[in-house]
Amino acid sequence: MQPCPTYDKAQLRELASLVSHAAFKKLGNSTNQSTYIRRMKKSIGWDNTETAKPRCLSDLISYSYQILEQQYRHEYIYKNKLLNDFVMEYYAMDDTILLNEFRIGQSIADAVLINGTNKVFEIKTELDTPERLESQLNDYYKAFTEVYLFTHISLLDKYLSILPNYVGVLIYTEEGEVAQFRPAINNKEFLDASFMMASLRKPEYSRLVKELVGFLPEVTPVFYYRACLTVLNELPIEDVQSMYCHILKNRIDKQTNMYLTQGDLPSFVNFSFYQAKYNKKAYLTMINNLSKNLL
Amino acid sequence: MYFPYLRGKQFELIALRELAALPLNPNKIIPIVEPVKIGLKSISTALKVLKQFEVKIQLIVNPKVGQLVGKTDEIITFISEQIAQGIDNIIPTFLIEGDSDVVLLQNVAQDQGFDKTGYALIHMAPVRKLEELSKYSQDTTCLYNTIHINHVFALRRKFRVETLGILGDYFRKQRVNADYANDLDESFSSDCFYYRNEGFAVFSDYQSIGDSWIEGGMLPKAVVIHLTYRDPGQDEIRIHHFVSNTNDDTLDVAGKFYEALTKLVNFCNQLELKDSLAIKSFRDLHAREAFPGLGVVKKLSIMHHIELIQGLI
Repeated sequence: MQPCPTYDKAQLRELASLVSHAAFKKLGNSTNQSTYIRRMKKSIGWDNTETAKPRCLSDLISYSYQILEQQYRHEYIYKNKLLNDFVMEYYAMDDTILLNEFRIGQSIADAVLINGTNKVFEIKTELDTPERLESQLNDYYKAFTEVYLFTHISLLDKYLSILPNYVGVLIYTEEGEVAQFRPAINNKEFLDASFMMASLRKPEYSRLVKELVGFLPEVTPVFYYRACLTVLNELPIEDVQSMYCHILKNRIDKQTNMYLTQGDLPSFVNFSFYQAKYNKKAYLTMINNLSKNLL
Repeated sequence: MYFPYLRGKQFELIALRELAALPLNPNKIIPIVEPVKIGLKSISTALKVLKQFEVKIQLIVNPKVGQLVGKTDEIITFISEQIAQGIDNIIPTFLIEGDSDVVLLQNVAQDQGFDKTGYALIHMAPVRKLEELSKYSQDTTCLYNTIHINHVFALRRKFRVETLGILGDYFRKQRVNADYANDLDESFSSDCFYYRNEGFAVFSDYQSIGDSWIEGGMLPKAVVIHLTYRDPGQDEIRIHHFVSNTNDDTLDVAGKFYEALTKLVNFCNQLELKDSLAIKSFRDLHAREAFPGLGVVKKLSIMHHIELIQGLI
């Protein structure tokens, strides 16, 4: 069924909170979804819907998703589109990691893709403002060499006027497709090992050092961090960055990829599912919840 | 007597266990423990260790924060199980904030026989049923009436003098750790020197944690170690905050800990503070340049405070 009614801002905001990573995560850990279903029915005005009603939870979410795609494109819609229509389209998932909310310096990158190349995606939806963009870009280039802005076509001119020429642009088209407006130009000028190290966990930065120089610093625990950083600072920054990307790729989760590419999941849940790294039990719980009959 | 008021989190309870062998003096120290975590295993471990030294715990049966709010039945069951196993160093303790707490006290105490075997009260706020409560406590075996310092004047006259305690929150909590650098050395409390003269059998405090309750926490930018010590010039406990130097990110917690720890060790040397168990541990960590985790730092702070007070009363 095609959603047609229009909703007010408050309803859409409520609906957006139900179509999000935070909401979908819960689909994998409890079989009791009655509160979730009730809230969603309420915010789409279930009782007043005159067309054929969705039969199962999956259809209900899909219906809500379509409403949001048309009337309130929030961050989850962009992220999910990025994964489904760009990453899964052009990259082999077995050799690719898409990191969500990745902290670099004082900023958090919406998504970072690492394959043979590395790409940071900064999402600016129609609900966002350009605020902080400059400082965000500055932080991203400390650890990565390609940055893309992903925004709606209606905002293209606005962002082109403030973006440096080396930042690439992906657009969310009127038809709801992802198109590359211009590619990013590789920029290594601002790479900084301390930012890379800071974004890693201890076993990861230990491995980074070990892989690059063959040994770990022999110092007491309280000086370990600084000693590792000293080692990294003495190496050519491009070598450090390339090993850094290699180490981040170890976060690829084979099982998640298997479930994802198997195609039993509705596409609206893909991004959330990919981030949550479900085990088999959670995966089956989710599949089961989604097929729940509503009538 | 001193009642250190603790929330029953992991490192608070480990602090009690490790202090037991000091040994803790059962005539001076009775910790108050407010259970806040489902699964009371760590409390039962602490009780067992303290039992060897005949130290009691006032276990709150109606906690007001954490996961066990409203789960009085669970805590009562736990107490019966403990008693059945011969762990009898528990004083069931009730927080009194409103009339419903008074009703709960009367029901539970009668059901479980605590009205005869003994219980304790902590008065956080005056209640409308004050006269009823006062009479109940005088007619039953109410061992201690610890009164929050804000309500001492209104409430002290209502309970038997030999049961009276005063509970104060002396820790001035800052918004973020780095803010402790604005006031590195502050007055903490002088209650331990004066409580008897002022008509109390007991005093109580929240050590260097404070009353405010936060579940979980974020990784801090600055590392701080809080250490209480006796003012060499007068009868007063002061608190010193040792704050790390490089505080603009959440990285290198171990390195920041060492910065703060170095300041602490220098401070102890300068003031020639007596080595407590905790100060010995801090010195050892400093010598080994080791980082035990922030939980252990909190544990050592608590241990030090309790040992300090036990030595002064």
